[in-house]
Amino acid sequence: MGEGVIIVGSGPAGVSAAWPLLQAGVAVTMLDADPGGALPAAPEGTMAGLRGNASRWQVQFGADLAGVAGRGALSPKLGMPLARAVLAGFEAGNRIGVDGFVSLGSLAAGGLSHIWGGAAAVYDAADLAGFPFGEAVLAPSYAAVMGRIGVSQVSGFSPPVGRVWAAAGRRPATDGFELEPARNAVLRADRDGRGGCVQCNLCLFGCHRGSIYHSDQELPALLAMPGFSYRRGARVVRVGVDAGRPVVALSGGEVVRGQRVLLACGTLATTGLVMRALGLARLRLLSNPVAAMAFVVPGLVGAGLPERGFSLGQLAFRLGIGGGVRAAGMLFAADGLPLSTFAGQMPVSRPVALRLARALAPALVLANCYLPGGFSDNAVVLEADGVRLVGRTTAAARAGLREAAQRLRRALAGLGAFAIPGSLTLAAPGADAHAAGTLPMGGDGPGGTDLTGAVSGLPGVHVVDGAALPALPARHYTLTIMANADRIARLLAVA
Amino acid sequence: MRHLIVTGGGGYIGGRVVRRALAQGWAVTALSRSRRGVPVGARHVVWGLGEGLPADVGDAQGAAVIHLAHDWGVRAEANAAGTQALLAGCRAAGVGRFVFVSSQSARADAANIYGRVKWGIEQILDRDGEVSARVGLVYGGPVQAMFGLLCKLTGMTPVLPMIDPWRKVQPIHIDEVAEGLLRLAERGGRGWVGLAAAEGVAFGTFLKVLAREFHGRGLMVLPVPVRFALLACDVSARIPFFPTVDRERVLGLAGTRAMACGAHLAALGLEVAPIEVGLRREVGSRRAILAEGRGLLRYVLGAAPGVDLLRRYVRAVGGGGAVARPWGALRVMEAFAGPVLAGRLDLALALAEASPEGERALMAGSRFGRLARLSLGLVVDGVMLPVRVAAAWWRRG
Ligand SMILES: Cc1cc2nc3c(=O)[nH]c(=O)nc-3n(C[C@H](O)[C@H](O)[C@H](O)COP(=O)(O)OP(=O)(O)OC[C@H]3O[C@@H](n4cnc5c(N)ncnc54)[C@H](O)[C@@H]3O)c2cc1C
Repeated sequence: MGEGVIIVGSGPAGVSAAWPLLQAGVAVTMLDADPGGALPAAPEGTMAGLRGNASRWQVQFGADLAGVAGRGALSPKLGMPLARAVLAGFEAGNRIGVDGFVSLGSLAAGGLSHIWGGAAAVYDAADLAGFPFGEAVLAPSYAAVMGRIGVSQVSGFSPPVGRVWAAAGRRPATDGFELEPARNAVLRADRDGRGGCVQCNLCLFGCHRGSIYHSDQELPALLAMPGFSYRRGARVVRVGVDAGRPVVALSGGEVVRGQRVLLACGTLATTGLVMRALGLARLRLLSNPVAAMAFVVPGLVGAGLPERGFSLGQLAFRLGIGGGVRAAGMLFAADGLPLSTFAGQMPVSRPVALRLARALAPALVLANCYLPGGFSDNAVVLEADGVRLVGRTTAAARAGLREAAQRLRRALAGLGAFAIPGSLTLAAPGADAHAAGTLPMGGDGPGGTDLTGAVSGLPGVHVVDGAALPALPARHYTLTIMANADRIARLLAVA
Repeated sequence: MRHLIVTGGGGYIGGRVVRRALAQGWAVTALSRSRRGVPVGARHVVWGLGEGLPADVGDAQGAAVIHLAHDWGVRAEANAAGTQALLAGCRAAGVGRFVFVSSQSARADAANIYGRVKWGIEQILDRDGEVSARVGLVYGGPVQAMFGLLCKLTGMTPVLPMIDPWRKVQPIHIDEVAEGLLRLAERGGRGWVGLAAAEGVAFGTFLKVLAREFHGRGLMVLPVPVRFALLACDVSARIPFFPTVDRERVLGLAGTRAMACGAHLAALGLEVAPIEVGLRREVGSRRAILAEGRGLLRYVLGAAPGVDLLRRYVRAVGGGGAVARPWGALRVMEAFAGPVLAGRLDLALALAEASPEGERALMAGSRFGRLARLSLGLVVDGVMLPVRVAAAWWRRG
């Protein structure tokens, strides 16, 4: 079956690779592991309306109440029914074991993009250091991808974030601290069947208007393209080469052949497939060490919660932490979060914590802060039956995050938001969801790939997701993964 | 239809056996002094220990007998004589299988009269098809008998004096006993068969589990010498409203010895669950979880939870049983909470917040009023800071 290109994965990377091929007239078969069944529906209405609603528990914990146990304080989103469904079965389905690493991956159609934060960053020349090409090469692909998904800059802020932004406008930038409204893959106006954002503040539970981009939204348009075919429930368990041509084996035993195979299963799954195919013993895995921290704008304590809001990143910041290292992160509001996510961390009795959380919620600015992937020390290790992700937080990462937190604290204090003592939390490796760099383009060690993500030793197999990125700056990386997949597909379309 | 004759068919175990037998399709005749406690569906014949097999018992040829009746009031020999009379009648009528319900404490030199009497009776069953079931510490079902007493005692005080809390007992759920007896009634046997958990648990542990699963309370078991306990028995009999603990029970416990019954259970194909699991099938355990939910939700909410919220709490707890809540005010004791209680408090908090009553509680009053109340709460927490610090130390240590 199939003479065209096989793309494994319908996440942002797979979909981005599909377009240039189809537009050039190359037939594409897209496979994804999605076992079928709908994801939990995103709630309608607004967060304000949901708050006192009798069915809120269902939205928040799921009808089976399974989400009530919570999953990680760093991202309350991961405990929500949608996230649980998106993440379900990933490790078992890709034979991934973990040791000190939070493996975030998906077997759903559309992949992790169903639950991503939408933060979209364009890498500058400094970010692309370590890449085998420069800004100019990637520019057309960035433009094409952003045109497709719709990237907008935040304009309306929640009250505490708005105060910080207003104060920033009045003060000169302090040393190395840059602040700007976040750029997100969120539509402001209706387009292509997606609705513009109405600031319902239900982002955490899934966007019922489709304002926040996810790659599943592109399937109808892809299906309308000649030469495109799509198969759900096709979980790839093995990649190989047969008679000089690439093949993939599905969980049911079926073998699918193509001219080329493009792997876009998400960094972790793609890495596992390639390592098993080539018998690679151990590869370095990059991640962004990440910390979270809470700030309070005193004048807003105890205020009512706003009717409207936006739970994704509102302001993006970058700061230098010495030695030429740049950290970066996002500022969020907390008015769309369940209070229980932060009430649990307060050193007071629970009834007081709940009331304190409620009083603080309208006044909080939450920050996350990333360090470059060079600070990470993780590996993927081949085992008898799959791969193991081994994560370790380095002393340098810990020190770097503390330093960044210190600088952020100083910068935001100058803007009227004061750090809550003891709120700094360092997340476990992998919790950043920015796994990358195992099969780096231009790399000459084991697992190295060429400019088209072609894996040496597996002719016709290309890596087009985060695994192929040779470096991981402290930035949100999915837009770059997509642009790179687009770039590779353009090259392959004419090859 | 298989015919089963149960003496003492209205008692704690007897009633349960009769109900189970009926459900399994036996025709059941219950022999006891009064109809009280005999489940509907069974035929009842008025009968007292000592009377032999009554003529109107129905077709006894090939029937099975489970003999539970025990007379606590009369002199000990009456039980032996009564059983002898019954057995003679059964043999004469051609009864197929005779199951005598004995006790783990049955021994020639048992400390309690009960154990010696049971042992004596076991000796007269000497034919094929006549078997004694030595039953361990029975729990579950109606809150009666020894189980009822232990339920009451474990729910009354945070500290319970008890003889020899390290002594191993072998608990068994009442339904497991009933099932075991019915299997014996079906298959017959010879000699004695142990019906009890194969592995013993310390009696003190049993009491603690009971306190937690049924009352949602922690329990400290204070060892006391037997002599002192016997004295306390006599005193307890004189305190109004206090459950009376009689000397026989104390002596029975003090004299318990390990009983090897794993092979018996295996031969019968009988599964004996751990006590936690067995207790969770009980109404008492569901009631304890409800009480826990009500208590914890009210604590975090500062108001009574509605039924829906409470029901959600119980559902979220799922198969887990009740957790031991502290006896003192949660406001003070929360700091000492172990991981299980802390988990339940987090559960209560998350559910409470996501409920209409939670939203009302958090929204109540003006901004100023809310902040004033919050400040007061923080002050109280501040006053209790030394307690928290101490608790953190204690937990770490
Ligand atoms: C909570 C959260 C927040 C995030 N926020 C941001 C953000 O703000 N900005 C940002 O840039 N990034 C963010 N990310 C990361 C972003 O979601 C991912 O980088 C992106 O989804 C990766 O795309 P992908 O196509 O490579 O893989 P995925 O999105 O993981 O898609 C994988 C695809 O492969 C398929 N698949 C997997 N295994 C197999 C198999 N064995 N056989 C067949 N198919 C398979 C799946 O079905 C799926 O279709 C976030 C991630 C999370 C979890």
